[in-house]
Amino acid sequence: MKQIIAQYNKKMAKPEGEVPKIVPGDTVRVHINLYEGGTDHIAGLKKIHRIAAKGKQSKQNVERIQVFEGTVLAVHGQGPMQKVTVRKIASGVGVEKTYFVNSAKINKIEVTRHGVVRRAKLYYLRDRVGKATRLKEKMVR
Amino acid sequence: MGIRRAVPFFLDKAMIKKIPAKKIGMTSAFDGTGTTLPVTLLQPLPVVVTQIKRQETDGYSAVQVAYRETLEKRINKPTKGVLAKAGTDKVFSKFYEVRCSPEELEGIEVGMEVNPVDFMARWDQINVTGMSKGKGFAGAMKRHGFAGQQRTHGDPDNRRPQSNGATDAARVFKGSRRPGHMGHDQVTIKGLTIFEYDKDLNVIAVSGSVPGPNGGMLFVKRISERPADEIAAVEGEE
Repeated sequence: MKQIIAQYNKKMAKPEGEVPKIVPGDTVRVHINLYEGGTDHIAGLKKIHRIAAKGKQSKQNVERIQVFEGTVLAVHGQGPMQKVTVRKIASGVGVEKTYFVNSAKINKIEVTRHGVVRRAKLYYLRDRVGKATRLKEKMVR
Repeated sequence: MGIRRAVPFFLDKAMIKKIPAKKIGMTSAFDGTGTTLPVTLLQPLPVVVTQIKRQETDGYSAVQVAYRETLEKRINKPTKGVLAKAGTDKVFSKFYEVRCSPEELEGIEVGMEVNPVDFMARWDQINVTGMSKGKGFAGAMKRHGFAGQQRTHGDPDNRRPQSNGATDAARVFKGSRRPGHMGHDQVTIKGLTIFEYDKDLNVIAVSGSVPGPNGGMLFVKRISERPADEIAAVEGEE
């Protein structure tokens, strides 16, 4: 039965290559699809019935794309339901957001920088301010 | 030698509105906009008509069907006899009956196979009936939602049911909410929506949770069908 669940979940994944490999310490730019005034108009159906729009959510329905750039603190889980927690400082306030990387809400994710880290969860960065939050860049050969 | 009929012909019949299913387990799914939903995967099972009960012969009209395929060594001789009479070459271990009006019996024959693959994609809202997980002997807080007592200020035990009524009657009234056996009851969850039907895996993803353990048997009853335009949209996608 676990195989059936795994096979069902597999369908949720985006096409291969669309989601980059993300590790803690990376600096990422997350492009988020925004729908002004809710999402009910998209499929013209009840929220639960968006099966008709399933898998082929048209990009032209996206009204705005917002970019959230920050450091990956943690990667939760694996496979289609994987989530990443991204932290940035916005107007002096720390902001953390957790995304499903395979969700249609995410337009794309770019990895701009790899940081040198020795842990899987970088929650210690929350206690640091200013220059101390910087991570050394990992040089890729 | 099961006789297969085109299903839309008797789609509205009572026996087709209730089918057995196996609970696979829970997971989450993305809808069209990327919002996650909690879903339970259920595997609808094929059934075979084994007996038709008529007003004249049995005093009521109903359709008896067999479900849950198994090995031949697992069933007893009387069950084999019923299956042989129906003329099916598959081996089933369980039976149930669906009451229906005498008119609805028309067109249903003994030995007819009903495969949910043919019509499952059209179902929209369902009721799911099953046995809930047994909880054993449970206290009043868990079983009836009692508030319990305060945790601090020296309370010796804060999960008691406490008083059960006045001293005048000098007895416990029937039906009083007391600790006792909880769970393993028949539970029906009404008005669940089918998020989608996966034809390849033969599983329906029902939004929300259903009673019982993973692998348990359930009965799924259709209460509404998808609108025609939605069916067309889903079929067009495949």
